[in-house]
Amino acid sequence: MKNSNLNMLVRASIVSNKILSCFFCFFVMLSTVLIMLSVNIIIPLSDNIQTKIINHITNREIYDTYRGKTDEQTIKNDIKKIKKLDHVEDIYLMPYSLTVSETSGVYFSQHMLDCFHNGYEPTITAGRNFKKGDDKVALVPQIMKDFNESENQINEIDGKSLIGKTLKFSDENQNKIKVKVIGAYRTVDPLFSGDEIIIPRTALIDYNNRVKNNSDIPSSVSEEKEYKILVDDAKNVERVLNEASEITYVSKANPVVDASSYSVAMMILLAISVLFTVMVILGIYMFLKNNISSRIDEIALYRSFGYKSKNIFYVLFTEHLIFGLISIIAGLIITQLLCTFIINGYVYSLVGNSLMEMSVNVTLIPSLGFIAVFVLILILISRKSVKISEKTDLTILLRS
Amino acid sequence: MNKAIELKNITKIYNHRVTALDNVSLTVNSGEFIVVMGQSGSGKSTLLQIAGLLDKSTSGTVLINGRDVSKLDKNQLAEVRKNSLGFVFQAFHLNSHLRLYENVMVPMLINEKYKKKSDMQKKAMELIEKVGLTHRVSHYPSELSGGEQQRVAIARALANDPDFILADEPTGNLDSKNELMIFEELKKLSKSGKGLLVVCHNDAVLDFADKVYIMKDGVLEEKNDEKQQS
Repeated sequence: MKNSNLNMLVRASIVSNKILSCFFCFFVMLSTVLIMLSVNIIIPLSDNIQTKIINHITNREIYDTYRGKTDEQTIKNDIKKIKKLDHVEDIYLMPYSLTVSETSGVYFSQHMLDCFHNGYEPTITAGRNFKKGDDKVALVPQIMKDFNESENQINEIDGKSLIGKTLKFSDENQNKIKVKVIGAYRTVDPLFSGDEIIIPRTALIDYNNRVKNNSDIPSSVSEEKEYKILVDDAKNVERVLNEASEITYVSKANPVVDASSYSVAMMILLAISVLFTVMVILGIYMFLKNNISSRIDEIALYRSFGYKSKNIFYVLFTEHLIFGLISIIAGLIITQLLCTFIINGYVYSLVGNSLMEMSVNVTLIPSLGFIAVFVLILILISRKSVKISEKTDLTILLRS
Repeated sequence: MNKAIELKNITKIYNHRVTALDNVSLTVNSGEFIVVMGQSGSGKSTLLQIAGLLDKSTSGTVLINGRDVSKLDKNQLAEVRKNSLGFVFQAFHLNSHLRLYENVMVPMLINEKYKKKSDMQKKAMELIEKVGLTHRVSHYPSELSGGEQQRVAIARALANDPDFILADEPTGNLDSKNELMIFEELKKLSKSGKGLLVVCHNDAVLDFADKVYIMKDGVLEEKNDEKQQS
């Protein structure tokens, strides 16, 4: 016997319970919207917390600082040993950022000449990022505040407008460097103060050396060498710190970003999702239980014809599966529309100008996961309902 | 082997105090039209429930075609109901959202005997023709008269070609003209070899019955002036 033969009864059941069916569809659709919204906020939020906050590059870095007098061989040996440690992704010389003035009249106030940390992926808002082999090029902040002392006013300079221009910088000892702006970067990361002109690390090391060699006044550039140890994951930093401290003097900076407040927000969202899911399970259970009660004659009749529990299960399950899938698809469409027209605008107003890069969208895997969970819940509840229906007193057929 | 429903010393006690059936024995052979009459509450419907495996007796044995069904589990009982028993109810119990032929097909949907839906439809058409409703085949129950609905129920009871038909007040909701029509249909079935157990309190059935029993306070007695039908 093919279960598909019973589709005739499924169709009749659907037609006969229009109002209840509509209520069920509305319930599942609303639940889909609420759960998918929560889940689709939790997923990017969790990802942001993990990658942009907990594993922010400054939370994965260890400082390895040497005094200027330390001989090169010692440094080389230390680096070699540190590189061999587990979880160390990179160890590199971090040049010092230098205070410079722009001499061609593009900027008036002083700025910092800096480079990106190794392993850091900047958000480029215009132009392009550095490529291998780039040397005399620069990235400027998306928007930079520049104080014009002679006019006594702060100008906002759009980084995009500088792309293609050549900037000429000079430090206090007139060490000059000329760079061409190739792009603008986003400065919302706490790593930036907002006035850094970024040049390739090799170019900054080179400039550091020139400053060191031509400097009249002793500075950190000439006093120390700072290496950064990049650890693969923030959770391994303590371990690497302990192991590296047996090789040389290493230290860890205070975290620039803190995940605790975001984690609380995520826990709240997670709790809401769980609550919604429990509501859905209870709702479906109550609905099916009532459905069985209201169709007791129909089920008793089927059983009098010799229908077994598996047959009754098929009818109940298929009927609700059809309703459920239609409602879930409608719910997913509504969720995406809500995300596009309302939620994303709101999310951007909350975290748009922060480290977070969040947009809420209905995605395939959570949607399929939701459908799978729904089907699983439906199977369990349908089985339970069929068990209840097994207690149906068939003699009611003779009493009516 | 003679096909028969045999009830042996059946007692049914509800809630440990109400005796609905008291040591009742009854045999329904194939081709027999057995009628059980009695007043409301006398226990005749309880008898039908037990004979139809819709309920279990407190004591006694039920044999269907020689097989003791008293100790079968739910699934085994469902199998026996599916293959050997057909029911006709006073309230018809037709599905108002299925067409006439679809209602007749409902018991066939779980029968392995029918490989294809077209086989079921063909069988349903034959049965509908048998009860004279070919012209109503695509109608819904609400478009049929009470008599017609009961004839559909009779066709449905025959869907899996059972050995026995159990009917509970089959004319209880019908007028006298339709009553006779239904009894005639049932009589035709017994003549074709089906065993019929009809619970009824309508005297019109006496003209069709092979044996008539009277149920009184849970005790079954055969009526002496039973009328033999040819």
